[in-house]
Amino acid sequence: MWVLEVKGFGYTNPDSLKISLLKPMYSHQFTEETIDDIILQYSDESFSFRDAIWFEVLLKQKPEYYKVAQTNREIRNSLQSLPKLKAAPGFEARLAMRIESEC
Amino acid sequence: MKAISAAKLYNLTDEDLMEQFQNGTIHAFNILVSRYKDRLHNFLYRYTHNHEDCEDLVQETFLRVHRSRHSYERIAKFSTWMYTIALNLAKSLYKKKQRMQKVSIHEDPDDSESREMVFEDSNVLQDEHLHQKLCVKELEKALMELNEEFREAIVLRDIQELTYEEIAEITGTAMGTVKSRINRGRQQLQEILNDYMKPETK
Repeated sequence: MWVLEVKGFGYTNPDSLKISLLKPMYSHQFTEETIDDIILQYSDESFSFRDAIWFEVLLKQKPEYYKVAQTNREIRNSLQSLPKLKAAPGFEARLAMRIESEC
Repeated sequence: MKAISAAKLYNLTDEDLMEQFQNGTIHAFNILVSRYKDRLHNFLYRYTHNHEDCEDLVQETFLRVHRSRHSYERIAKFSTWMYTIALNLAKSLYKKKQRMQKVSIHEDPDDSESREMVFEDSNVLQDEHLHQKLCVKELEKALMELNEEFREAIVLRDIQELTYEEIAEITGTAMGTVKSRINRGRQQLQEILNDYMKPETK
């Protein structure tokens, strides 16, 4: 049998190490604020490896958030692709005239 | 701060330009106008949905920047300060329009003959362009139906690409509130869009 030794932690049983690392995560109590953070990071597509793990833990507990996260990402992408409106030609000249008359 | 040449002004940060403007360099203000005029149009159009009102608001924002230049302090980012002015103006106009009631917030019927929107990307095929126009129209309409607080957070984040910190500063709310408004706003937007897709049951 393979025995994992992690210096400084005192674990000699790989199962106990696995349980000690995952159990606190899976029973983690998410607050509304941390859920908002995870979903925003997902929709911003700025996930670090750690964020990805937390996202998975969240989905294990609350699978309904997968749809929420997907919707958020899709809406953000759609809004980002809206055409960019620009100032009409001659804007600076019209502004200069207004400044001259009002300032 | 010493007066510097016109060419060097272009390399300055917004805050340095503002300082130059406070010291009497008018050209520094002109550079700020050219840097932000399109971004402000893009932002304020989401409140007015009318080109003339939009241009008025952008002009008014720059006019206030011009008039209140001496009240600007470097501790704030110039863009945050300017967006705060623009947002307050947009909110006042929006409230005024709501009070008037007679004016549609989706589209101004009097604006039908006004100039076309100027888009950055005009390199699209005819069919694609038509499809894109329809989607854009639906999305813009849904955006206008959103709760005001949700809309401002979403527009500042997804259209103006500002950071959560900047949005919190501009709207004067806590960062947690900003994030929550963005999340809930996007959900609400999806619900509004889903309603558009439902076939009429009448």
